[in-house]
Amino acid sequence: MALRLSTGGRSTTEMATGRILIVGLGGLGVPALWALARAGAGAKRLTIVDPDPVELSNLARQVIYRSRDTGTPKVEAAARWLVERFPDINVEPHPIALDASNAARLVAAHDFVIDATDSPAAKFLINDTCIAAQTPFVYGGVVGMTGQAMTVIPGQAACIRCVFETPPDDDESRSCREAGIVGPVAGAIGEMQAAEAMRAGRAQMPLLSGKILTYDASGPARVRIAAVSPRPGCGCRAWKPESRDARSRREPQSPGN
Amino acid sequence: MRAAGASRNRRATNGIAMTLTDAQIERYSRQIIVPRVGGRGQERLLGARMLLAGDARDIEAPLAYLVGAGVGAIGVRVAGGQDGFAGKIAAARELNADVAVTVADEPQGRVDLALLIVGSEAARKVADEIVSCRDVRAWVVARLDAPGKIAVIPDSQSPPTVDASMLTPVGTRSEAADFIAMLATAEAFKLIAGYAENPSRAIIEFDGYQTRVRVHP
Repeated sequence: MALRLSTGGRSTTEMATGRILIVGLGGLGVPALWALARAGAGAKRLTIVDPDPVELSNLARQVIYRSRDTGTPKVEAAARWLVERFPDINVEPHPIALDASNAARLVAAHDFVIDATDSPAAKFLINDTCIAAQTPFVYGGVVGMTGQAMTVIPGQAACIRCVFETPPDDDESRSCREAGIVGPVAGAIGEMQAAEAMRAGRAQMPLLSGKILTYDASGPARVRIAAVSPRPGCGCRAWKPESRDARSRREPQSPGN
Repeated sequence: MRAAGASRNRRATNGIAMTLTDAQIERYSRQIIVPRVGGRGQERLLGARMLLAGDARDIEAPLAYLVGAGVGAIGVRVAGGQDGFAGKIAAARELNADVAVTVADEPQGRVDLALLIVGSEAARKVADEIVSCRDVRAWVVARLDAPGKIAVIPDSQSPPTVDASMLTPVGTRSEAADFIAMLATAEAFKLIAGYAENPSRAIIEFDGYQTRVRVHP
């Protein structure tokens, strides 16, 4: 069903609701999946994509899997868990990696994508595929005691390439893998990603469209949501030269004007 | 592979001699390698006794994360009664055999940390009863009404008391309630694991866009 996305007086776009693709069923994908399932009506049709089996080292933070699930594909264990706990939800498991050969087909079949991957290459693939398909998505990332989330409405708000331009090199991403991860930190970001999907599903503008949320738990929790501008020249075409009207609205007016 | 910071035959800070088995080192490896958690932090988690209280809908996910992290003993007090939550407790027990999850209608001896999640009047009344318990060494109290608020009261405070402002009548639920509950769970994890060397008493407010942190040394 196509609904008009209310944007609080800003531009509007058409967004269909109900079909959500979750890419990655690890530290981010699991809390996002759980939150969507709890929400019920807004997320009846979920597709889950992950190539990996459940491992013992996943269990501390991927809290829908049990010891007996180790060795089972994550999508299979998650689908079984969903059927047991939330029988009304229609889940479609794909035990594959999202790659260039299947990304366009998978994204095109959904209305909203949750990027819950942990690989920079996958994140850029999701970004580029969603931009091409005009499908909104929410990016999430977590490492150690910090996390980030940002929603991209193609053509309207900054995309991942507007912010990061290119994937980090191998050394940088290796250092992230070595920094570890704490379950509730990932859980908070995954919850926020699910909330963004649900806002879109209710035809509301996602809170993090054009904004990035950063969460730093290395001290007392610090959360900040900051605006992110589209980058001129970025292939997402979200950047628009500011109109004369917009400029004049921003400039201070004298009392006599 | 032996994870950095993991240890064997070490005496945990709570005085209980603990060791991490190979399976535990593997299971908790991703959090053990987080700087300032380490093997000692994991031993503290496994040796900790915790109380978790709030409405059923607000404590289910925090409970799963605390069980997953390996908090050794978790007593659960559900506002409005335990009816209907028995299945969730059974599910939580299935997640991790290292952890004992029990119903805690009455305080049961020493509690290293109580995580109180206040999302309704019923949950506030339960929290109000619990804060008078003298055997709780540290507190994390989360308010899920807008603006969200988390009080972090470490065991270094003497006495570790909960500010009355955290237990005033509950207003309109924050849109970010689930997110706030998870932030509070992370704060509880850090206190139990001994993540900060000298944790301070702090009030964290979240207005939906950013947190404001007031630290009271």
